[in-house]
Amino acid sequence: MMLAALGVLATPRRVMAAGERLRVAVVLKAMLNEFFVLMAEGARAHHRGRQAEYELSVQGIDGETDVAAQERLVLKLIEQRVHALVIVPADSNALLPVLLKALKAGVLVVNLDNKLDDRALATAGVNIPFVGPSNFLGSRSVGDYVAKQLSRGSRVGIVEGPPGSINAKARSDGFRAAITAAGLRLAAVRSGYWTQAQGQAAAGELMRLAPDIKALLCGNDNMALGAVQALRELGRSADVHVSGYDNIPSVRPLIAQGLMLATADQFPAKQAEYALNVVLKALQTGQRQAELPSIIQSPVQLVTRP
Amino acid sequence: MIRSRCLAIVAAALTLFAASASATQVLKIFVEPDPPFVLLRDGKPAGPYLEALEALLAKQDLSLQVSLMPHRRISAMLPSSPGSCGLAINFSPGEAETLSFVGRVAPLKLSVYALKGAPSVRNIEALRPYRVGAVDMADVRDLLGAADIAYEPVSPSAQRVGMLQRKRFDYLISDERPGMLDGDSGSQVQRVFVLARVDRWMACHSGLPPALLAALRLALQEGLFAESVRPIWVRAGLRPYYQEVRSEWELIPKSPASASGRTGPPR
Repeated sequence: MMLAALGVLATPRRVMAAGERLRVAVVLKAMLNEFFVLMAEGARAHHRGRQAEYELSVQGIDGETDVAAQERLVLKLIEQRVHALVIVPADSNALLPVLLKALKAGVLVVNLDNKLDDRALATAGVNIPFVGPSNFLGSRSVGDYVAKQLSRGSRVGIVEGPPGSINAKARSDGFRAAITAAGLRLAAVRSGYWTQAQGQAAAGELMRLAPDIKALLCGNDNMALGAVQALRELGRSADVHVSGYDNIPSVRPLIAQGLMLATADQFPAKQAEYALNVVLKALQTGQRQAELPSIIQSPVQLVTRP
Repeated sequence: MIRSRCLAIVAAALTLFAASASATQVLKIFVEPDPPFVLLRDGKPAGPYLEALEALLAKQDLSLQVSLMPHRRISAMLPSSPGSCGLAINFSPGEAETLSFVGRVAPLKLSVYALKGAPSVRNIEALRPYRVGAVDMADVRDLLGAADIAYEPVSPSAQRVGMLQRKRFDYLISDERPGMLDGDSGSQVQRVFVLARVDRWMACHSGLPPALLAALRLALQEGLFAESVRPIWVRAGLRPYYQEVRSEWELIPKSPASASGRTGPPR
């Protein structure tokens, strides 16, 4: 019984043939989003430095939330018999069934950036390590910085990521904590589904709903770009602050010009590097899925106008 | 001769293994006082949550060192306290990135309450025009935020029914608790509808060794409501509550057939 608990009797890792090279796949989402472009570059840079040790394949879906397309990618990788899979799930729950298939096929699975939902993992009885930052602490630092520019009692709005993403909820939790600590009032929350267009729509709706809003706290930079656009069209750029999250290259000029107040850098390249290190160590030392650490935290840093 | 010597060596090895395996490991537990589940008795932490956990973990050769503290302090301390776990923690996406949410320990039924005779409401949106108080939990914040309901957060340890009686709120969102609607004060309050069913968790420092996490997951397969701990709940005078949880909570297998279909230990 204890042996089972320790994972000793768990699904065996796929046995490698003599001379076979380790094959690792990184599956991302939103491949056009600058954040994931940087993450993919980080993975490739890691591979360049350790080419002798493994083969790397970096793939992804174009959309932020296209679960079906990401599932198809994972199924294909299972068929291709990769040894390990590093995945940024498009949804924290919906991707789990296909990841369970990967585990059953003996593929080592590591979760990157957007955490799988612990509630679903506990129900499935699996350990899938998470590599990523504390989105809560990152967004809390952004929220605290924005709050310093506002007077007590000011109303703010949150433009949130998709409801199925744990990191979207974690960022909103961090914003809420900052709002409460500073004595601000939360006017409303609207989802911008991580994209610029939907972020713009969400920001516009929040401003119609509560015209006295003094700041829009956005769960990522793409939605913040949309919020900046919405405020420009409403002629409110001067009196409503905007913050983002991710520190993608597109927002840096806006922060420098003061059109955005702050963002948080999650160092996507470093995240990829951390995840690949975990995977390679496990594959090279024979660590099993259940023996992997459950959380490997990567850094996050507040970014403001210099 | 050789055979008997081999047997002796094997026996000695087994004895050594048994001795090392039986060395009890101590797990530090942080938990908020929450009568009748967690309370101080004769100056020591007690209550069915702790007694059940102790009994379940004893099977894994784990013993407990319990510290009582408010939830906010647990949240602040746990990420920087290696070898520790928080008991009866509410799931929060923000904390899930820094703590290992190991397993469910108890169900939580979130319901809307009002004084008897309050205007009828049937869903969350209908609460919008009223003064709402709500226990300060991530699940509740998310539900109310998505429905644009303004509310006043209420500490989990507050006298919630009393707040309704003093008309501080029109409606209160709280977890259901044994005896909540008993007595003079409770009899003036009614449950309006069940808003959501969530769980309380054991969440541990992220550096806890994977083998220990696996042992905890195994011990908590039926939360703190395994058949083996029934006497603890009965002794605490909470037999009806225990039975209700056993019959309603999805974590508890309801028949031999469903039990065999349950997922095994962590892979």
